[in-house]
Amino acid sequence: MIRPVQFQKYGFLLFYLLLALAVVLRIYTFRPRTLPINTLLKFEATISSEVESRPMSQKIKVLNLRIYAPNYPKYKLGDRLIIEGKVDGEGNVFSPEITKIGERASIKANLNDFRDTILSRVSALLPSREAALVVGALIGVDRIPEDFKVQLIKTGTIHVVVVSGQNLMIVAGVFISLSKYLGRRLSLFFSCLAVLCYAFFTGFEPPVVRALIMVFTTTVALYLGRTSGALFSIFLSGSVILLIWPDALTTPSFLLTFAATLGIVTLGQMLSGFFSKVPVVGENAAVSLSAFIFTAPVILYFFGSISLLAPLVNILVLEAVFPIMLFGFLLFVTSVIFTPVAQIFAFLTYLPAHYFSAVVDFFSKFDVGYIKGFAGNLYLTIFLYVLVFGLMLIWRGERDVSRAK
Amino acid sequence: MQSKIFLTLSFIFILGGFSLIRQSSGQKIEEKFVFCDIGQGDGFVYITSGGSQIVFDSGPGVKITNCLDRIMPFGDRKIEAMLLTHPQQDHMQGQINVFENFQVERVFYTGVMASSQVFNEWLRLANAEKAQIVNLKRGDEVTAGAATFEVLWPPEEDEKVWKEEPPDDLNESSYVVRLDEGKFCAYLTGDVPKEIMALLVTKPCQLLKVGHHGSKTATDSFVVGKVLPKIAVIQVGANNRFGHPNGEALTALSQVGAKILRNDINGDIEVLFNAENGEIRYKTQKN
Repeated sequence: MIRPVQFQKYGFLLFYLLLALAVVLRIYTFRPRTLPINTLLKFEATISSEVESRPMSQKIKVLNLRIYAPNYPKYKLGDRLIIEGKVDGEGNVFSPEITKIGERASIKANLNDFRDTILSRVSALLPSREAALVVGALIGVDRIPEDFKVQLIKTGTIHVVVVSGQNLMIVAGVFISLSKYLGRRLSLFFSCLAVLCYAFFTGFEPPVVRALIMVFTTTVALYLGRTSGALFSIFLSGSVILLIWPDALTTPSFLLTFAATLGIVTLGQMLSGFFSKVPVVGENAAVSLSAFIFTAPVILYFFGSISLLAPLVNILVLEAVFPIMLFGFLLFVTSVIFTPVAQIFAFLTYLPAHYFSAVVDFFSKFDVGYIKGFAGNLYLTIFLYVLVFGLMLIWRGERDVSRAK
Repeated sequence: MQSKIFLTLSFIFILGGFSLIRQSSGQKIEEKFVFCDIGQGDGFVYITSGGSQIVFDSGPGVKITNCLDRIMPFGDRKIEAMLLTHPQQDHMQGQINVFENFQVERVFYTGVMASSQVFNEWLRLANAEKAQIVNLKRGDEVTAGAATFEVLWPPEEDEKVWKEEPPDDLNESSYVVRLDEGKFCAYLTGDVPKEIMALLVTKPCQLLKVGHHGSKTATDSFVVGKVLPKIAVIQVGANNRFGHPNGEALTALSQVGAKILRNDINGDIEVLFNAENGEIRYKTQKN
């Protein structure tokens, strides 16, 4: 474990300056592989990421292109295709000619098949909204019905059902909380193992691996060290991620994970003292509120809308995530082995999942505190972060003064 | 951690208790039609007094599954029968999702093949489902609870020809079914043209599922004048590119005093009836 205290003051500064310089150079010199746009194109490709199933089409990503094919025949990860179509100015290819010429076997493709099997078993036992919650939270499969997705985005709870840093933190947190019974080392070991398993089942997609690095280093640092150690880990892992995937800087998934983790480690720690007096949901409140405040500017920038009710909805649903994940996992296992037992776990999973879904449904009807229309406003994003950090510094200063008194 | 386990268990038991109370207080199941808001297409369900479901078409996309989830009790993942009026995407795509998420016992379709990938997938899943697949024809009757569904169209001879060579307009091969129970009846149409529809209406009925999403090709004052519906349901998507429902069809329905209900305006629509006196009423999700 790297601790800043191990560095001499200037050595540490020099190290971080060099790292920052390397990151800037990497981003500046990075040239992603792209296919030409605004042209007729015929090319051969293997699908290397999950095909997104939409109501009226399926979306396949190949480098910088987004290919929208009719719903049938279904394509899947590992399929080798010849694609011919017109690429528009934004890299979209609508209704191209597609010929499947084979399948490329890989661990990723096999994992995808396995996830599909689990999905079909769970879908046969649970209603679609609840099934989407369970498979989303546990193996990151995005099969969320369109209207439910809109509600989840509106209430700021989408992170529970798509692969995200917060989701990984929940998995890690469950095992960390067992430290009283298992001991620090063993609980940390299981928490890392669980997070690794989670990433494995989600197919080690780059956003998952990035979230994994962030959460892994921060959890370990936070558990073993102090806030400053965790802060250092966040920036170190962020830099490593950008050195490997410079294009992550423009992806919402990385920025949201980074912002949420930073928020939980900094503001979350400050708020936890304040919320510790609140029974039952005190810790959740600190985590939810800090993650919300830090991710809000990024969400506004990329999606152009945010609900001020989001922290409240998150606090209300967060207690349900633990039983959803626990019983959902048992449902997965039993659905493959013995269906009658799976039906019992389906019922146990359904209850918290239905509660989650009902809370989201209820709060999505309110337009109170729903802010819209700031997409792409970089100045506003910067201003909001300056404001947050400024307020945090003032609060910290006041707290130190009152402590000194 | 103990408090977490305690909280989780309490949470489960409280919710479990509520859901059991809700299930057991379900009393008698009312017979009804639920016309699901599935966008620009047809998709509705008939629920018998015994709680069985017959799904008619399923629209484009996957919204029919959400609708079924809302109206079926937890634990019931069995659809007793599913009927496909004709193999076009706006009537059949959702059935693929139904096959994937529910256990379908019986499948009714005309046997008319379509040369589309959606139909190939539908046929593959219908066979994989190991459901009983039945090609119904004019004169066939299907009993569901106390109700009887009589197939009015297509006739056997046309069906035979269309199985070999589908008609240029697949709408012509669309099922038309009439439900009869006591003093209540309902015409359930697919996209069949009004010229055919005019030949099939032999008596007035309280409910008309308006043909072809309210297109003027399926509904006119002659057809409406023979049906004399009290309630006319139009399954149509908001701002659809076809301009459905057509103004002439709406005028014809208004002129006979029918209450017009539309999925684009009313969301999900429930139509309930009393077979003893023929009374009919409705509930809508919105407006």
